[in-house]
Amino acid sequence: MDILQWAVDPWGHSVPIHIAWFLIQVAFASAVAFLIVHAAYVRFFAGEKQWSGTTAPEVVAAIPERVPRHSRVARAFHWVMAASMLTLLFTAFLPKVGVEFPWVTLHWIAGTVLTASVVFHIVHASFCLDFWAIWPDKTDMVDAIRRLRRFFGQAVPAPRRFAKYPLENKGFHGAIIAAGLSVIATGVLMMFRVRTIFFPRNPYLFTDAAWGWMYVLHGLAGVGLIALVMIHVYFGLRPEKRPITKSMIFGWMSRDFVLKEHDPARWVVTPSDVHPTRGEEGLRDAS
Amino acid sequence: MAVIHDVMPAFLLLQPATLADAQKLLEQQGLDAWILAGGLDSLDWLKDRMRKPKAVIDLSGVQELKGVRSTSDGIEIGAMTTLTELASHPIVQQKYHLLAEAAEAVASPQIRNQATIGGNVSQDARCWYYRAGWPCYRAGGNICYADTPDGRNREHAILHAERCVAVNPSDTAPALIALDARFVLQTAKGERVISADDYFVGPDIDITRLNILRPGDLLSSIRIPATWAGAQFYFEKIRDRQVWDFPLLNVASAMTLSGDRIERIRIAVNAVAARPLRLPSVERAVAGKPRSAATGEMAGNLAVQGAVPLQFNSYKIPLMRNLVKRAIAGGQEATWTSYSGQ
Amino acid sequence: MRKLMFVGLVVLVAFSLLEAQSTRNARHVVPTGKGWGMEVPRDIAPPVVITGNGINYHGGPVLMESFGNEAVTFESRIPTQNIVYEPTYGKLISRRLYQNKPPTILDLPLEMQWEAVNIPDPGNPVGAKGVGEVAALAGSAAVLCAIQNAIGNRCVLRTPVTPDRVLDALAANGARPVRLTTYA
Repeated sequence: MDILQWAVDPWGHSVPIHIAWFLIQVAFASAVAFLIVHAAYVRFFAGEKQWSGTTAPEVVAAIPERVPRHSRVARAFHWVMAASMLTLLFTAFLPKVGVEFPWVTLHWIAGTVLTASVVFHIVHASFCLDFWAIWPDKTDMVDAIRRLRRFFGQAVPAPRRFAKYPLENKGFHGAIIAAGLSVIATGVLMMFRVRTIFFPRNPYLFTDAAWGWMYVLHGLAGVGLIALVMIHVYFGLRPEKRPITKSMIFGWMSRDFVLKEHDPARWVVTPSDVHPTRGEEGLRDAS
Repeated sequence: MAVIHDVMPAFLLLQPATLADAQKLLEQQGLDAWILAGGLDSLDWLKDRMRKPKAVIDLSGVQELKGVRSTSDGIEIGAMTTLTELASHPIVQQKYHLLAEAAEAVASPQIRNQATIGGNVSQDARCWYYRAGWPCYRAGGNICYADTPDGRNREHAILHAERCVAVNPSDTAPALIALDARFVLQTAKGERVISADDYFVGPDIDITRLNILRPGDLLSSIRIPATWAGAQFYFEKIRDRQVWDFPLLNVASAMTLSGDRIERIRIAVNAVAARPLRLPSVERAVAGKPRSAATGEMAGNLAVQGAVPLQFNSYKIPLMRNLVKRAIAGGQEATWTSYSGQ
Repeated sequence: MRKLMFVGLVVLVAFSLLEAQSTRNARHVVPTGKGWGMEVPRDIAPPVVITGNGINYHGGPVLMESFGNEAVTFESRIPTQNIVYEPTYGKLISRRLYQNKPPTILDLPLEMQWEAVNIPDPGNPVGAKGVGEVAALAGSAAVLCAIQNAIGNRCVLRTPVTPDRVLDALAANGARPVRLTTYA
């Protein structure tokens, strides 16, 4: 069962044209399977989370009741990007499973919005926020190994509390970078195949084979995003993650939650005079 | 490996005798089935080996799908009725002459003897890139070869072209829309009756097919209500040759007059888009107006609004304008009424 | 306009055949003016002229009529016959007869007229000229030149010639470069 659809170009050569559409169902089913397994694991098998390290009392006292986590601009970006992503997924895949409607124009308009928001995000996060916050560091890797070894029953120290983003978030963001940039780069080039307001149409910009692989990459990234978005929404709705979801709506996180899972030394949420390690960044780190 | 486009592939030929048998076979064969009516469209695909169905269900033996019968409200035409039989049927000629004219304009006499009305409305696009087996959007691919700066698109669409610019090549389709016909479909979920307008599908909805038929569906008959029986009809087809040619453009209209004013009208054109286009804006605009050249010209200008010409088919815009004008202004404006126009 | 093309075409006929079929004494046609310089042997037998019993086989006019009609028939390809190549891929896309559009019986005029031009062809020793299909070549070119002369010599036309193509050529007014491929 080939995951690609092949066709014969006018010169008789075999070229790929797009992914096999059964991959939509595969992505959907995989995501549902993950959800079920995860929910069952957390419900029946997972114990209380254990952490090593404590926070100094003066630091605890300096943490505000409502800890700023995402600025208004960052939240706006997230929801605009989410709306465009959902529009893209529905306009792309609903027609393929039988729900027919005029989807092409809506799809590239939403794609334009997504591209603009992602470009904004890259610039904004790189220059106005803490660029390094989303990338895994050495502590994350060491703690990940610790958690894995503890899962298998080995006696190792408990992992430390997270910085601003748990490793799972960072991993998810990495996957989104891969899928998202693939789909955006191929999508922008594919806009040369249809009539848009941006540039004149040129369906022969690349060879048939090159276009074919572009459509394949776009499709693979797209079905990957089905699964990624489903998992992301699932975690957003999970009860123990709800404070995180609320922080993306309202911008703040409660002090208790911060103290439970995050290390104020790694995610500085206090003024810099209380916690001098991060210097001037302090509360500005609420990105 | 060479791609061979010659000699029909082997298939299982199934020849049911009743409609029920045909439906059962369709259900059994599922996606592997190909419905054969007159064969004029099917054989092109099969001979070129562009379609390789496992089973071909030949409906020529199903008598209940043939013939024209009167009903309490109009007539019902079996989908397997040949175009010759339809065009020469006395009731069709007397009361629904528009359909007789349209059916007579199709192809050539030999083809009309074999071709069926059901097949004519359900036929596939004749875009030569699509028919050559090139992997265009309509074939499931990701390009339209005709909608390119150099594409040979003289016979392609000027309206509602969403990625695909092929046209619907049927002559009887606009006539049936003008007569407000109803198409009776036999589906897995039972019988379904839809208006002629809803039978056709544009590329924005589904770019791979021209009509609403899904695998397993069968068009069994076409019902024409008595609403437009005996009305003023106009049909004109423009084509390159005098016979055996698909339309470059055709128009069909049914009009009732009160005095010299147009009471109401239904008008449809084909070969300008991937589906036959009813022109509701024109219908609304001319209702109550006198039947004159001025009204016709107003209607013609209204009809072509939004038309987007391709590299080689800009002639279709004045052509459509003039045909709509002639349909409105009537026989006295037209020096000929047949399909041999120039 | 199409009718103009068909009717009234001048058909170039084989002079020698007429001469040979003449009821006058059968004579050999000798090259006049520029020729190939071949000597015509005097003992080449002329084509048989059946005479006697007052019945003359005037094969000439009958043949001429059929050849004349044939030339017109072939020239009637000018408006519709498509041989179309897709420029980007260089592939023939008018693969089937209904795409190629050869003229049908209904595309031919009911009345066709022909004329015999009694000028021997100096290019061969018997002055013979082609009839039928051969005559269609020059005739087609003559028709195209006539149309082009009418609409303006900058508007280059290629077959097939239909009203919309003439209008296109007029609109382009020589501005669009003509590609060396037959266009749809």
